[in-house]
Amino acid sequence: MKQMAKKLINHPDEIIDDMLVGILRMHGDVLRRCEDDPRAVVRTTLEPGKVGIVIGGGSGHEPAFIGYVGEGLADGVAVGNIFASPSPYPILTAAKEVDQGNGVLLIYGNYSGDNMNFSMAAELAEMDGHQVKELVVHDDVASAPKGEEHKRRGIAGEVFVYKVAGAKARTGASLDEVYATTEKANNWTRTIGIALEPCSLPQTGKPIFSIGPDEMEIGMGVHGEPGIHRVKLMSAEEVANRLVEAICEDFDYDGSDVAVLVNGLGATSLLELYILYDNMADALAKRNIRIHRSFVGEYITSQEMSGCSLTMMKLDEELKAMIDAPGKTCCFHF
Amino acid sequence: MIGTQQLHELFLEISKCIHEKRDELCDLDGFAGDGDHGISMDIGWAAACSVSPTDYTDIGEYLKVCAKAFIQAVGASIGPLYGTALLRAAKYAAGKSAVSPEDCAQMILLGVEGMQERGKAKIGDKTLIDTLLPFATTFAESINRSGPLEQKVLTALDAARDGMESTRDMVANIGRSSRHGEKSRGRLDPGAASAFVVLQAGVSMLVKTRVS
Repeated sequence: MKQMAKKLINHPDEIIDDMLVGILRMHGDVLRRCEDDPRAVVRTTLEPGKVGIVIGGGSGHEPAFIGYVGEGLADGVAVGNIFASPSPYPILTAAKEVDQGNGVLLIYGNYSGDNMNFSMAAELAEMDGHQVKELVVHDDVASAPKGEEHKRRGIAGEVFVYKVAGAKARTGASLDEVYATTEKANNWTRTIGIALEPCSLPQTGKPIFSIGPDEMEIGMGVHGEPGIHRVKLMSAEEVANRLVEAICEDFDYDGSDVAVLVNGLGATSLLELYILYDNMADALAKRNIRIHRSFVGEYITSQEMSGCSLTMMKLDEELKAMIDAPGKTCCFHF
Repeated sequence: MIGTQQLHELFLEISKCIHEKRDELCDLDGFAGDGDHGISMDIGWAAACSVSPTDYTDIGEYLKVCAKAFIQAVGASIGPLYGTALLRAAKYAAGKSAVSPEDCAQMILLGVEGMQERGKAKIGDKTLIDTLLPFATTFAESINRSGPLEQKVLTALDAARDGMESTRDMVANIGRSSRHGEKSRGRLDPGAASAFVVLQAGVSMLVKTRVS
């Protein structure tokens, strides 16, 4: 068993609020906490008439999800506890605050807690006269077989989905139009990850799963959900080939233009991620898949989990424009 | 007729019975879940009881505030599930200051259907639905037939008990306990067990009130 993780915190029960205070202290020019609910954070400047985009989920995945609130991305976020869905009320508060009269799209990952809380927030918002649609991200190919995509978990592909939703909303599209384009992006996005070392809950410091010194797990979820294969540690090239193969077996990307994301889970260095990127680009070239846009770095993490994921989104002309559109949040310049 | 005061008394009775069974429910949950089910239910119903019925005449408004109190007190899945049931009942009762037993049967059915929709569970998944849905459908089907109300709720409660007992032989198919697969067989589902406590509390209160 791995030893207890060391954490730089003050009060184990107040880490989420302590973090939010820090983020808001630094980025108070672009983000604000809502008076009605301190776990709802929205942009200080909202764009009149634009369809609102609200995202959210459990904490512990920073920069997700608050790091995707900004110009050309989401307008509001509901912040849950570590690896736990927010309750419906911060979601409802964020939705009400960002609604500019043309409705709000709620985007969240496919987890039972998030499904319940976001759908309940949608129902409450509708009771209060807001027009709301929900979009559930399910990009993790390892979490359910082909044909059961609706059962898959949402992981790093969420970043592409937010980007498309935010860019589409800025074109002045209606809620239905934003939904349709974003759902296309969602359906054309696939991710698979590997884990080399576990993460811990910051409150306890205890590793949430164990993995042998020479092992890795393919398909493990971002909260330590079991993957599909426990194997001997592979080289970056072998991992890149294996991940590309798993994704391309699941969805036909051959001959397409794609956006790719090589995401670090927290403890895998950029050095490693760039090696993987290069190996992955070779694997894609062999399949005649053209990389239109690449992202490498920590986009959705799991504390100090070691490992990475590869995300691919097929692009048509519309999605190319959406992925290329400018975006600016407290954490990213797109 | 039933107003906010009577609903408040119903919630007090449910809260009292759940509190009494709290540790038993936690033990049931300790096997496949994180052992806090009794505590979650206890906190949730206590929160619903903290809403003052005299502040509201509109039952819809009152139940909506109770739903919010319940959900804000309890995270996990129990919050949104019971919260949804209260909210669907609230929608039905919006604008009403009193409801009839027929209305109640409808509110319970809508509430349970809401929970089913929210949690995506069906009969046989080893969840609270196995207790609640037989009660709701049996009660709703019998409500317009002739016969005493007491008999109707007691028959519905029998259906709920059978449903709860049936979870003993099931393998969890949904929620956290589904991770345990075959190992979940042989024990009552804690959600199904606590749902029976809720129904039993309501039924015993109604029978007591009508008799006295």
